[in-house]
Amino acid sequence: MEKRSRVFLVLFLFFLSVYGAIAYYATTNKRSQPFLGFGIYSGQGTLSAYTGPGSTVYVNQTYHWKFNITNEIGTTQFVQIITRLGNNTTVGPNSTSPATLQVLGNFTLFVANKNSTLQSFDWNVTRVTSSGGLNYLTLGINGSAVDSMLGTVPGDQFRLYFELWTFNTELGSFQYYTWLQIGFTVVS
Amino acid sequence: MTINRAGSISVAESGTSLMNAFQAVQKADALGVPPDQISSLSRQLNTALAYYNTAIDLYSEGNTTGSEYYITLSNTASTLVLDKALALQGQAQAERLTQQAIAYTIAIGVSLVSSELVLESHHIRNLLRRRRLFRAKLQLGDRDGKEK
Repeated sequence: MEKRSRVFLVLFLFFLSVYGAIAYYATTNKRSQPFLGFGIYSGQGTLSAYTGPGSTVYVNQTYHWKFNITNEIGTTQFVQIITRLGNNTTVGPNSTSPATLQVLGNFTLFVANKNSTLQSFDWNVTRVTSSGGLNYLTLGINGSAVDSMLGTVPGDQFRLYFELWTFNTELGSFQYYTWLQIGFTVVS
Repeated sequence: MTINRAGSISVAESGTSLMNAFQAVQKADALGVPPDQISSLSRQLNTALAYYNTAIDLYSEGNTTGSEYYITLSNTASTLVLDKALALQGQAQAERLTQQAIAYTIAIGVSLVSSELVLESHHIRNLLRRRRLFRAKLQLGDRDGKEK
């Protein structure tokens, strides 16, 4: 009888470890690879044709772009998108560091977990000012006007940089995450 | 930046309230609250954020009355989100505990039954053999086992 009890106990512990592991797996939140997706749609809702042919932008023509932020981090995220202006010679952001170029605008929003959010980015070039052989732009971004401090040789490209930052609740500040860029040439 | 008058809420307080609501939503997320409910809270957080940003814009333009109005709206929206998130956290925790209790009770029960089945397997085999024998038809034969 005593031997039977011992064997029963061993068997019970064996089965309990197997079924207990199954129960643990069934009742635990499954974690997947966390990431934030960041993209820009053109006015046609595509990932191309952001500007006119040859990356041209016409003065006073408004471009209706949309940012797409996909949250697969695991929790709701508070994000910030910073827009900067650069050109072919400036140092833009990279995978680890944001740029130090002029900020044209920024906005913040909450993105729910397992969700994609679209945010409008309507912009135009309202004026091109020439000074010292360089062209300077006045831009309208979501209704706000801003003058560029960066000039470019006429005919050369400007670049719009978009940086995605996420809010770190432990540090109480936004942390740089990733970036996108679109180049354009202004035609008066 | 603070806008303080007797009985009014400061911009800093409103910002803290918004962050508290955000953290409560994040915790609700981590506890497994369904995405549709989180999505609704996130929309409300964005509304509170829009009020907050409007308040800051109005304040920088010198419109303190308008700013205070939007600060109050932002604070109310944040408080609503915080309350809902806390309620959802409680529900999610209770549901998770119940699910875990059920799952582990089933695991213990199945382990007991499995152990008993393995231990008594020879009895079961004997029982099956006996049933097979009982059902088998008996035939007459001589001592050498030849049929007549």
